[in-house]
Amino acid sequence: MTKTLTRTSATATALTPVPAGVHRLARLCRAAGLFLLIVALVLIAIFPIYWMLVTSVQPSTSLFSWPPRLVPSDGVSLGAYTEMLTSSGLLGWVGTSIRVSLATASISVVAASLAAYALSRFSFRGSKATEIGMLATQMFPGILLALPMYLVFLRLGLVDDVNGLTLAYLAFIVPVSATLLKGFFDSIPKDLEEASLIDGTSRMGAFFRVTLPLSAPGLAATFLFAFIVSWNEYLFARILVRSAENWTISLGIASYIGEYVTPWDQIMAGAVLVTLPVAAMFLFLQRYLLQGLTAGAVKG
Amino acid sequence: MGHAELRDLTRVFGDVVAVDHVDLSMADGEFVVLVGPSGCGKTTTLRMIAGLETVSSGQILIDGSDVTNAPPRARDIAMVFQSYALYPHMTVARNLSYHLRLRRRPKHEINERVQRIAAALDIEALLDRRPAQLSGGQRQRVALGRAIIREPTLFLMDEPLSNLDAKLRVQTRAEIVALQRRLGVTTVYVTHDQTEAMTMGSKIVVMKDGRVQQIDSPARVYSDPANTFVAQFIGSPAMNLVQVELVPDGDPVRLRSPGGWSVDVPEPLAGRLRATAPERALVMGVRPEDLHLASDPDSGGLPFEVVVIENLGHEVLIDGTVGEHGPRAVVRAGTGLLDRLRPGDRIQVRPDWPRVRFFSANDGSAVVLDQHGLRQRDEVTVR
Amino acid sequence: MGAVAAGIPATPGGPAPPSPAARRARSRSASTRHRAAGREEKWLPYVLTLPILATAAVLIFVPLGLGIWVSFTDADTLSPDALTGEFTVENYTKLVSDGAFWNSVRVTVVYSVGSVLGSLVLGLLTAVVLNRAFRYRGLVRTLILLPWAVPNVVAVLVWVWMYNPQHGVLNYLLTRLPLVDTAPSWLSSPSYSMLAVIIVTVWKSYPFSTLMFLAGLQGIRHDLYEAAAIDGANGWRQFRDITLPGLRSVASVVVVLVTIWSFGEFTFIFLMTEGGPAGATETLVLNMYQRAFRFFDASYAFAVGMVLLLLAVAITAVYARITRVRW
Ligand SMILES: Nc1ncnc2c1ncn2[C@@H]1O[C@H](COP(=O)(O)OP(=O)(O)OP(=O)(O)O)[C@@H](O)[C@H]1O
Ligand SMILES: [Mg+2]
Repeated sequence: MTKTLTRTSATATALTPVPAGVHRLARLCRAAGLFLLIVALVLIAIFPIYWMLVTSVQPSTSLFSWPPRLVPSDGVSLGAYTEMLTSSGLLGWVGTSIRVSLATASISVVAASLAAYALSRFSFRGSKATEIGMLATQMFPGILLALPMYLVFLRLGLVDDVNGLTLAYLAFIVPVSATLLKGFFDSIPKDLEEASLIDGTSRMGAFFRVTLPLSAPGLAATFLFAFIVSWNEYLFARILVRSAENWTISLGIASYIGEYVTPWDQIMAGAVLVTLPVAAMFLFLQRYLLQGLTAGAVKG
Repeated sequence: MGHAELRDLTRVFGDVVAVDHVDLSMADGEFVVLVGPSGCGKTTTLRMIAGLETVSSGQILIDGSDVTNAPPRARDIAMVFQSYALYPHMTVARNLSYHLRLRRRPKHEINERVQRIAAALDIEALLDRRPAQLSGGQRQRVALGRAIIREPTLFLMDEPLSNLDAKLRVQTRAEIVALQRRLGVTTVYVTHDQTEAMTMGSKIVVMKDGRVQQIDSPARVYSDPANTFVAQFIGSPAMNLVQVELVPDGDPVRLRSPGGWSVDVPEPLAGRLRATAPERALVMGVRPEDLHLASDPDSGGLPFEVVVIENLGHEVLIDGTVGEHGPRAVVRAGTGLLDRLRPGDRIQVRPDWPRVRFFSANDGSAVVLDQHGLRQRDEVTVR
Repeated sequence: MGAVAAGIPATPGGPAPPSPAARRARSRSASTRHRAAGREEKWLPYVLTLPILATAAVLIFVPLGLGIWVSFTDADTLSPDALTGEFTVENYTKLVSDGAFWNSVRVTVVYSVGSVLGSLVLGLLTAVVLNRAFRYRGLVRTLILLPWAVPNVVAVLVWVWMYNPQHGVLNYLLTRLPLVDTAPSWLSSPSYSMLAVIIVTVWKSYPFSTLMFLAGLQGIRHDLYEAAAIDGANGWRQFRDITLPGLRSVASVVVVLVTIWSFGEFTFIFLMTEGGPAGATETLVLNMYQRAFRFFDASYAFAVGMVLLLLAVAITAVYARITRVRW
């Protein structure tokens, strides 16, 4: 890009002779403009996150002071965090969320990797339809699934049940996971499995000894992806879970909204606590996720 | 140890017939080279022998038993892939020993065999490395080692040299041949490079569009191509092909060109040609080294107009046309000619008649001259 | 490797190789044993996909089918009894003259268009900036993508706090700007609540567009710019004549995906406004939810859902078309 820019200015110079000073000034202005633009974009992206952090360490006395303290000038207090960790339901919600997310992610990876392998390596009757179907499940609004699922789960006694919630998550997470994993398997040369077949394994032997070890990063990425999606999910939890002792983290912290007195410092402390782990995973994953999400749409 | 046979083997992909009724038998210890232009079905044939590709129809026999539907692991074959296909997550040593470990050979035997192969291939220092840490040539050796450590019935190799640079390719070529002789394992080797085919094979199978064109020794494929395709594909520069018409009743017997010139055929070839049917359209084939510059314009040669003279150092290739605006042809000559010849010169070239071959102008298949005159050759496989 | 020929004895030491006869016997028995294995490739993929297909059938297609069925009954509460309601098409005839439904259609369109436009423009701008070389670009990119990593519920909480009419930092910052003297009560004002909801949606979704556009920009061949520069095109012309056309297919994928997501969005709207005030942010999804759980009109809710489904199918068809061309 820089190269192009220099080239452009060089051409411009060649066409219309301009004094060198003017030229430099123009470039300086452009650089300053770019700098301001970058600052603005960064502020848009991170100010809310910054504000969450600042609020969470604000002493509760200065929470509602006007003008708001844009930097924690009244000192830093971790009281909101201790409050959140000791006397709220946060730890319980985290426990439920970990349980649901771990189960969803583990089962997803196993089921999805088998299907993804079949779709990646064989063309069989219905393979194209299965692949399209898996993408299609991502296309319709979750509530279309959640409401009738609620009916089915009522009959099966799975409403307000952590296992029921896991099952619901599997329904829409397994297909995406399979799509993601298929992308990873596609990137592993078929030759390697064929070499293994010749060296004396069966198809599944080649899968377990060659393909799976080579897709370890993909499996990890898919696992984390499934984990994050279930960790962040709200709609299905809202519809399928009733009692407070089964609340996931999303339900728990959302329950503060609309309360008559809102302890914003504690809410923000809770928000920071539930964001940190998934944000870390997310940033680690962004590269892989994009690959899977765009599924070849961007190439060329 | 290993003989193999393909019977009427066919593979169809949708409406592409990749391999079309191929019959081929390989004797024990033979080095069979499948050669042909890109897309002619060489790889598909090899993969069917390996069991990596299903067979549409026909049979594959290895050591007399029918393995047409057997999975690769039941065939006792080893294969060197074009991409080498080394397992990236295993060290060189584990790549080499993978098969033996799958077969649950005792540890000491595995170690001993890995050491022996590594020593022979000069890759002992690399045993603990991963494939990603190897050069192309080193990877090639490991791939070769992974095949020979198995002592299989059959070696299959799909263009194993195509990822090497030119110099290493020539060197490795000789080494593979020596290795194969030493081990005596029947080998099927795929290449699209006719030089590799000529220098390595004890038997060459020339393919085109999924069909076998000729199966013969390298010398026979070169001297007696089964048709004009083989004549042009094998040999570099290719065999010169010139359309002629046979005039058998004259004396001497003549070949007449649509370009206007004609040439007398000497005995004993003339006698044989005379015994044949009247006019007949033929293609005359002469290798560049079988055309000699004639100093005397009336010596009974073909008219030749020089277009380009290429000096290769040890010899000269004279590129020109036979007759005016005639077909292109190449003459191989010594460097002594360089001062005497220049582009635009019109000269005469005299074929080495006993080595001239004739093909039918209709379908390009070879016709053989014998004491009865012209006859389709039938001792080669032509489909 | 000259050593090879000499180095490997024709019959290697160690265990004696099996006799030819034994070998033949072995490979023959192997071949009969594996006769079925040759066909392994035929059934294996079905076995491997069975779990996922069974899951999809039970957990996706059965509920969807039930939803369609319930929309043709007179069921009112969302309970297993809903499945035994009387058949009727009344729900669909009711839709036509239902003002609240048409309001939802309008709100859905406004919300989707706003979210798509916002995320498209912000995403493109960010991508073009990030595609330039400058110092700390890696850091800036990570910072700009951060909103993507924030859980939806957390994003809602933070923004609700920032929108707070009395103590919110947003109104404080706005009033500090020159020429701005309004301090809207964002979420409870019929005229600002839609904007408020769209802002949060865009903030969460534009990093996705950014990543897509970045990938698209990197796919544009560099020599095109050089050729244009030599032809005398300035920066803006280059952007218009090369960059934008080069991003067309990426842009259409982004538009379709963000449209689909905003169509189905529940969390942001539900937690910020519950569709209010006075239906100002009540999209079809919210309308469906409220009918099912607040107004106990389950069958009618599903009829609304079917409209949603049809729209989703239409958009999916468009998406399939766009991406098929590219595949
Ligand atoms: N899996 C496949 N599906 C469809 N067509 C195929 C498949 N594999 C090969 N073909 C077709 O079969 C024909 C023969 O292919 P093959 O790979 O055997 O050629 P080849 O002789 O090895 O060529 P090359 O020298 O380029 O490697 C080609 O026309 C190819 O397009
Ligand atoms: Mg090939």
